[in-house]
Amino acid sequence: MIEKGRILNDTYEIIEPIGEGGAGQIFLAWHKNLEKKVVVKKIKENYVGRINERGEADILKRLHHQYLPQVYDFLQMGNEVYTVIDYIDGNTLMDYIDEGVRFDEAQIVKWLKQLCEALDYLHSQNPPIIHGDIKPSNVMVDVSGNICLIDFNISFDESDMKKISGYTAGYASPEQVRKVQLYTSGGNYLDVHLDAKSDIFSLGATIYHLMTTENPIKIMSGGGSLWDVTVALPYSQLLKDIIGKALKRNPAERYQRVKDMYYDLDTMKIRDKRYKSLIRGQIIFSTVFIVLLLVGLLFIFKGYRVLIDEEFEDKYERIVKESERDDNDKVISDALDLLNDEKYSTALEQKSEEEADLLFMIANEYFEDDEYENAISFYEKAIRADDTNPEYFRDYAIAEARIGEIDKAKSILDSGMAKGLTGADLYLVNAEIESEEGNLDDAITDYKKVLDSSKNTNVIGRAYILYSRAYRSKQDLEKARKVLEEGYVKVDDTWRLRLLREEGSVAIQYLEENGKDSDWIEAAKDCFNTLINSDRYTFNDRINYAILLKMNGEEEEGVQELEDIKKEYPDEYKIPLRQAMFEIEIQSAKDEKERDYDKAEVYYLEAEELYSKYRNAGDSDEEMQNLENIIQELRDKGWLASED
Amino acid sequence: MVFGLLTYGQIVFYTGIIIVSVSFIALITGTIGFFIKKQNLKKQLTDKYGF
Repeated sequence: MIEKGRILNDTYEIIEPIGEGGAGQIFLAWHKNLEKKVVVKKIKENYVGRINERGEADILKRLHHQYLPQVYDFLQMGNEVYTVIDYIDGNTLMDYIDEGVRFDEAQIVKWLKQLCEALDYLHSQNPPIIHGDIKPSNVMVDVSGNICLIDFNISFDESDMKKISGYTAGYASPEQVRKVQLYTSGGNYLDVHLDAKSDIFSLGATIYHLMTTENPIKIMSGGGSLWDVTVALPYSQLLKDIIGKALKRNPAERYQRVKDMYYDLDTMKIRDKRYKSLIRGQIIFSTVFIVLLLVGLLFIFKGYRVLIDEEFEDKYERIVKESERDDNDKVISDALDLLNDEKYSTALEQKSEEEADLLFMIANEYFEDDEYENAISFYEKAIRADDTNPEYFRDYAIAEARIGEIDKAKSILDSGMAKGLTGADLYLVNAEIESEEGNLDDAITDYKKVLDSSKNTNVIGRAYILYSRAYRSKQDLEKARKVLEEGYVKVDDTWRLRLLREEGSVAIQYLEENGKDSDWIEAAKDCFNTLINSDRYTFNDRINYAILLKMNGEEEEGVQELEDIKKEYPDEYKIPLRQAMFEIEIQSAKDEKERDYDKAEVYYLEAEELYSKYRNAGDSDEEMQNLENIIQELRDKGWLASED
Repeated sequence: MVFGLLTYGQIVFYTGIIIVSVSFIALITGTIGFFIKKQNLKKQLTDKYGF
């Protein structure tokens, strides 16, 4: 017993004894230099010769960790050996257990993690340091609520395995117990290897005692379920599993390293069933969202493609109807817009037949307007898009014949025959070639063959018109009209209107050449009235009707008709052009004194302004040129003020 | 036209729009819902496990 007040090594003043350890008495002392309390641990005299008293101090002196007590000194005085270590102000876990204090899981996990940190530090030393005596009485809780792992009573360095002095039952691992038993019985204790797993067992047993208030000695006896205890255990299965793994009797089944145990503690949150369920729910939700998004995007993509296709088909059908109405300019411009619209370029790639058809319609509209060069260009494009349709070759050959390219027309005809051009189509092309060559009688014979052999209403309709025109070329307008009237009953409504239009044109020609004739006028009026009432009339139909009215002496009606047309086609220069011509004719029929060409000039200027767009595009209109000449003549003669 | 109101292309396209829109609405509401649930659970787990 060291008396109170004794000063050791001129530094440590003994205050009072505070306990008795396995290897010696423990005193509270005052460090005179550091001015703080320390613990002085004396090794009992009768142990001096058996324990390497420097070993423990040396081990502890090397260690610096927040959860381990700091060793300050090692003293040897005669046969007395002392170590000086940190005084930890607090209680041991055993104190709490004895008082029946229970701790919640959060607190236990916190201390367990701190103990793992301390042990990991020890086991990471070189060589690893095994504590060897972890139990509740060797775990202190300081005033700040943190643990301190104390009392390396049986601590040993793995490099000095023969220094084993005992174990604490219930907390020592099975292999530690066996080793000590072998040692004390003189058996081959060196065959039993102790390492970090032994400390892990002791740690598990310590915490088990804290959780259950039951001495873990029963674990050693191996009876019953680990958690079959009398007190309530408000702890999660996760924590129980961690402690359970630490307490496996077979070291191979325990945590192999403290780090692994710490990892399981640190990840308890994310291994909680509720958390896992939440994460699983999130993953499923995200997967469903991604799948739905992809499906939705697929629908949008496919739907857009189909929409474009449908839009294309819609516009295509509209253009086909326009071509039946013979609204040439509109057909051409709408068809070109559709073909050149980038939006439909992908759809067009899959629709070579429709593309060829559109090009063919454009070509036909140019053909109807007698613009054969343009028609030829588009027939060629149609054949490039689809070279299997013999009709394309037929009309292409006819267009070439119209511009006098007879050899080329015949060559195209041969190509057409190779593609299946036969019968009525062949006769039609031959008739055209003969007509262009001036062989009108031969052409008429061939047109009759077409009408006799064809059942195709389009071919029949065209043949009647061309048949009629052949007679017009022969200046036989009566027969030209008769042919058309014969054709009315043989064609459908679309072609019937076209034949009427042609008859109207024949009638106007007749009246211009032969003067007023009531029969022809009535016939022409019937034609145009039928056309206008059909809603398939064209702009030219109404112009021709206005001309017809004037020819018939119905000048006011003719002028009014032009005014009505103007409301429908405000940007069309041909209307003020026609109005100017009418006005000039009306004024020219009056006595000189009564003539007033001002109105005609107004119409002319209006036509000129609207016509300027076409002039800039390189187009020229003979009638417009004619009107310009007339106006200039009127100015020259003083009927109108000069331009300057 | 299908059902006299919409074409096949319109049905497919607008169905896609609806699916994508619903997906995003579900994403937003789901994200908010999961966030709230996660925060509540984190608090519970922190109280339970202490960290």
